[in-house]
Amino acid sequence: MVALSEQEYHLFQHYIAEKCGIALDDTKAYLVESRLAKLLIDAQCDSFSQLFLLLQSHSDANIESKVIDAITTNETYWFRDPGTWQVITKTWLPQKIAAFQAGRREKIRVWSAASSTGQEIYSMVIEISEYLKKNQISTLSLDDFEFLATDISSSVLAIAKRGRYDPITIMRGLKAELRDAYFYRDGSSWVLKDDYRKRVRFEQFNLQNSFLLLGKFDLVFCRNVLIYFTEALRRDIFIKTAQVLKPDGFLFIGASEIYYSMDEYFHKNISSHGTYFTVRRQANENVDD
Amino acid sequence: MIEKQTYEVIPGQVFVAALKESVERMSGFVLNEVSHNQELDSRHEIVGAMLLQGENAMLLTLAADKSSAAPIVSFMTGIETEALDEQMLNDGITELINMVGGSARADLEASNYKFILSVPFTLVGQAVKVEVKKRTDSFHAELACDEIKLILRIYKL
Amino acid sequence: MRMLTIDDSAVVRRIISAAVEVLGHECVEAESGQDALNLLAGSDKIELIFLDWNMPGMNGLEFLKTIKKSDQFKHIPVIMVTTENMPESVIEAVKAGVSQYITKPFSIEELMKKIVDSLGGEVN
Repeated sequence: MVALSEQEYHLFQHYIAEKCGIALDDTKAYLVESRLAKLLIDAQCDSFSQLFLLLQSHSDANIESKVIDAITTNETYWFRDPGTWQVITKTWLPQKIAAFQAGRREKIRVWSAASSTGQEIYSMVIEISEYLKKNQISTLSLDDFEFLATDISSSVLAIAKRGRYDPITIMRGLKAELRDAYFYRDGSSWVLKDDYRKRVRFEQFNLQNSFLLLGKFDLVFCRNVLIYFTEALRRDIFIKTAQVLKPDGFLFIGASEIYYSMDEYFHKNISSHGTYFTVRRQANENVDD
Repeated sequence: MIEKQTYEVIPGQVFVAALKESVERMSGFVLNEVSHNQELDSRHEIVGAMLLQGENAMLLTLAADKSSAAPIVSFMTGIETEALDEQMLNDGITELINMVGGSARADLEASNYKFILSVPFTLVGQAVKVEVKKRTDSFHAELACDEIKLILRIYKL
Repeated sequence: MRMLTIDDSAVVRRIISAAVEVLGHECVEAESGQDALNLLAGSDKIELIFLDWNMPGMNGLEFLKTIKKSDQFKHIPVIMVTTENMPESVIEAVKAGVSQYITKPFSIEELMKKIVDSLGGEVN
């Protein structure tokens, strides 16, 4: 019978760690088994060993990306974690607008670091648009923002780029009024209007790589992805993220994620609205307080 | 050749993993296990259940209030929470317990907790409580996400 | 195209119907093998069937074997959608004639991909 043996699990553990930096510990054996079991049927393999051999043989170009997709692809939805959106509208946006009105003219840059099928970054575009409208802000517009969304999986990026969602996916967390205002109907699907969709740049990016060429950001989303990484890679990502966040930039991670090593690089801000992280000033910097 | 895995107590984490995966795949919600000091709530509006028959027979239950079942079933089906009737909520919880049982079964096939499934059923009411007398071994876990709260319980029979 | 979903769970039938409709087709529902046979016997042509395995009364495998014996229905492709994930079960279903197999739990995307694959077409 096919269960994932300990030996087979180790083979995949090693393979995934190499390809994506994802550390699957023993508690994730179940995840690997259930996600890859589906692939066994499609790849017509009788066992996980056989699937692994298929990967090694490089005879099926698709199978590698299918395995990565199966392990890394997680579901997502619109406006996830209410606390995050509260902080964005009550704290972050007012700060950015004030800075802009005071003369700061650089683009306000947002990065969704594990964008999956795009709901997170598009929620951000919609949230900002709604805020500007509701508060009748005319001094700045969406044109003053830049949106970058990256993911390791090219297949989810392809979906995100199209901005096209089925009726079930569209309603997960998105109010009907917002859906009607920002999307148009195409058959049974809903497509994000071009004016909003074109504002996001989607790129394939592996978080193990250097962040230097990405530029600096006013806001970084790194939610529900760090859980999969080794402690070492996580630390590496914290360091790199601290380097690309502007001094008053915000970092958001998943509501239930807790990483003690973050303390070294970030200050945790717990407000009545929600939690966000800001870069910790280095000990040798001049501080006013 | 896969050796038989031997568990001393109910392998509760296998079922927790199965529940997390089932809820995430079907609705998008990522549940997190909540550690608890006090007694878990024992009365709920919907309790999905399944008998797991084997050498180490078990009763598997999944308890939720309507307010927790609704967002899950809503995200699963694309039907707004207000438009969901009770039958759909009960059906959704039943289907989840069905998936949990089915997934866990494969994982425990080569273990001393190997089992076959019974038909899933659901108990519905205003304060349903399942009590198993003379429990020798049981497992429970509370899983949550935003407003959703689910309690998974396994009793050795 | 008209499709048929057979599952004793209303929630699962609804999910499958929604996915079918997104792809521009129609979907009718049956909550048991017997119900499904009655529907098939009706005049409307069914071109794809989604089939659960574990159902009260006639189970999915029995239903599958039944329609495969019928000259009228044996050509209709069948996608099994089930919690049954043991390889022996998959093999048995494939031998009995299923064209695709989806294990529960599944994401909407997975489901839609399998439907598109079944129809041998591209995504619109």
